[in-house]
Amino acid sequence: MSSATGTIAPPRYPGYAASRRMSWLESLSQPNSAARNFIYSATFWVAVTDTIGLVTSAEFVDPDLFGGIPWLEFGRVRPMHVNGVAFLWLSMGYVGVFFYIIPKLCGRPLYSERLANITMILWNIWGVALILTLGAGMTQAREYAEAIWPLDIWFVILLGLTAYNIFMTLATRIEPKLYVSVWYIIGALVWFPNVYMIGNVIWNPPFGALQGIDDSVWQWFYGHNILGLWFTTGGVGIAYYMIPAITRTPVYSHLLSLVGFWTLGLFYTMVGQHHLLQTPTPGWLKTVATLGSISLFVPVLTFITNIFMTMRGNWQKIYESVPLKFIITGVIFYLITCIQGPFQATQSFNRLIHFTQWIIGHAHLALLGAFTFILMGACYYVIPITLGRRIFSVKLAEAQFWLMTLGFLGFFISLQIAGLIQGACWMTTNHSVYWCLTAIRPYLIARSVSGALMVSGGWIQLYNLYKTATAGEFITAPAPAAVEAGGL
Amino acid sequence: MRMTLGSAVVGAAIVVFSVIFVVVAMPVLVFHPTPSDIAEPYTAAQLRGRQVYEANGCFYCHSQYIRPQDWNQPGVTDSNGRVAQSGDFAYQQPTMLGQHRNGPDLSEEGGVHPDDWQYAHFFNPRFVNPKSIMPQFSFLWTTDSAGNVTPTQDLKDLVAYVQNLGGKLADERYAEQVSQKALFANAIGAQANPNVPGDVSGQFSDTNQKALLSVVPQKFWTLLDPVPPDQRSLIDGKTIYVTNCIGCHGVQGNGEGPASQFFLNPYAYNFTNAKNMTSGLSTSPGSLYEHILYGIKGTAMQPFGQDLTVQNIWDLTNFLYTIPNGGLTAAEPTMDMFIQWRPSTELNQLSNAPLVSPGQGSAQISTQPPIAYRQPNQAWH
Repeated sequence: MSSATGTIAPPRYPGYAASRRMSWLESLSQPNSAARNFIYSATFWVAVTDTIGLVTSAEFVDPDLFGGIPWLEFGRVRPMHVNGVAFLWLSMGYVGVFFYIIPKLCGRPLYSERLANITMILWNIWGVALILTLGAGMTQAREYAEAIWPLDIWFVILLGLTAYNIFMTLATRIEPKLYVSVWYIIGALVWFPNVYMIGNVIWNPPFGALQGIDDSVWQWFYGHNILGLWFTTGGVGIAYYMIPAITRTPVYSHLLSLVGFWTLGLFYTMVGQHHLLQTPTPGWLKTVATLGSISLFVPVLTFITNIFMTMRGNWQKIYESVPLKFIITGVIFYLITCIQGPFQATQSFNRLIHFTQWIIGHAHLALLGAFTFILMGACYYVIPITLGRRIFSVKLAEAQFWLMTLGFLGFFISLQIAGLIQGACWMTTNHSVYWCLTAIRPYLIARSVSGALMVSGGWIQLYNLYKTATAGEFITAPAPAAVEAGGL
Repeated sequence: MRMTLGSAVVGAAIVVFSVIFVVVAMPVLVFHPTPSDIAEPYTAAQLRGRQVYEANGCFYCHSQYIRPQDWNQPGVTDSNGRVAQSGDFAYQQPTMLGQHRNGPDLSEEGGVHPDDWQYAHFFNPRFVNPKSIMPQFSFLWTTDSAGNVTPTQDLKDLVAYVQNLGGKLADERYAEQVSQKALFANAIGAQANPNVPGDVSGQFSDTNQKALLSVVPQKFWTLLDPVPPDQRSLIDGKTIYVTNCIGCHGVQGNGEGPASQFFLNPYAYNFTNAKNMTSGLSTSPGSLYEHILYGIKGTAMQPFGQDLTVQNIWDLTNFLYTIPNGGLTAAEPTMDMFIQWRPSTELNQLSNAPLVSPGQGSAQISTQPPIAYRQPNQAWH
């Protein structure tokens, strides 16, 4: 065998075809190619859109940094970053991992690999169009729902194609039992397109909004439920697959996962109004939201208990497996998010932190701390295993992990402190917003510096996955267990 | 429980859609607030301006509602005597309540500042507020072949929209800005040529001094500074001047800051005239204190009551009297630069008259209707 030179290796996995050159079109119907292509795209977007995020944070420190350039003006760059990480990095990454998990759990290949790859291409074009339109100031001016109407429709079609592919795979599956990850993926794909259409008021093309203050009620139903019914649902589903697969341990409790799944759908849908606790909107909606937010302890604690009990006796494996390290860290950040969240949704605490930088810290704790870490771990699991290659550089991946973790902690803690300073400043002193801004400036600088560490983590992942795909060492030794575990 | 494809799909849909009925459909079915007393439909220009506001993402940093706990609190504009009501938003689509306050709340911004302040602020917010972190909107200006920089239609529309934030209350405040601006324009009169930067001689004219006096309560007219002009006070005052005032009043104190040079009419006040600072009608410590605390309607002078403490303002007032003797050019102001202001005979006569509201006879502005003195945060009552 010539594996020592790393050029040719026997195909170990179905569909692995390195021994002859494929045409580009042919490569689009290879098993798992869509999963990989989605993950490559997502990784590209996390590097790019996190860099855009760094631009927004730099504009807090020096507002004249890009002064006078319209497409780099803060109010245009911010939605590029938010929509980019939400709908390009996390969403594309999730779909990529779904396209790997679902065939695995169904015992059959994906229903249509070619359709999945077409979805991937359309999704990337959508992403470019989204960034360009936002830069040009074309927006519907509602947070997370900025995309203009044609792009809304386009995105719903992308979700529809994804859902069709996955549901057809499920309908023709060989394995009769539905594993817990599959429920979560089903939930995510049933809920998210509906939430997206309602939240974007998609039947009202010129505005994408209702008239009057009911519009805010709808907007924040949507704003919170892309998190609750898509990012949480998908991320939890991925963690439920990855952790048992890597540790080779069955999930601790079927009952706990059932309780977690149904209460997630029930309680998360209620909570949107907690963004509007001091607005002139109906009080009963605020009560529903606060109660729903506190009830979220049920799905969260069942999930956390289930994961930690599954990890019982397996904790040493986080030193052996880079993906597991990322995912477990993500789960811990998820726990912190979901302890913070219910407290923030109570009137008394919300009064202090609403409108402050605390909220930015919390939002990043969920989307960056929890779900980006889970997804990065999943990327490092799926790419090597479907290519039959080892991770190009485990050291780089470790470096990425620590840059991300330390960068994130610095980012998060400085924003939380800044938020408390702002809240206290507004509530207890007679000073204007401007005065309070000078008080939090050191923390905003610390935020930008630690943000830069995380951005470098994204670029490292892009480089590492690219090198894994092109120059990763082929797995030839008969150690499938270690490989399955995302091991080294 | 055995999960099948059917039970997962149908169950997931039933659970979520029943909650959606409660939190999404029911509000629209039962909650129809009628337009409030301040809500009014937008004009075409305001509507276009609103689109510019949306396109540039202003709502990411500026909220548009005053919370119960913000009432008369910092973080909102000085005209915040009113907590937001559900009917205020009746004509808005989309509503832009906002989730962050990296800048002040704007729901009552209309009419708080005059148009010239708005244009200067949009060109570069640091011109009028050195602490601001708002982006420049200089790209909303065009330069023609002759090198003249003029606002685009987008910016004019945006200013029209911003001056309407607060609905009918904003209209009332804006009308006051316009009439007060006319008062000062008349008072400075032909002696100031607005096309020649630096020609501010009209500021010291008798009519302008009396116009400035007319917006200050009589009890402030001859009030002296209670804080002694010692070294600490002067240095603190200079720090406050440099961090807050140079955008308009300039690094030399002559009213030629960038905002003033290019945008403001009337110009920012010139503090370098020794005679005026010694015995001017409107330059008593009390008058300066009042102007800094509440601002001057009709001019770009904004209220600093939320940025500065009482002692800050008196320190700053002390410092202003060193400017004619080089308080700004020297490394640090010293006590021998300080000018002791004394009321002139004319001012003594005016202030010894029976106590009346300003504008009702003390200051002789014959061409103008009397303007009742109002504290800025009582404007809507």
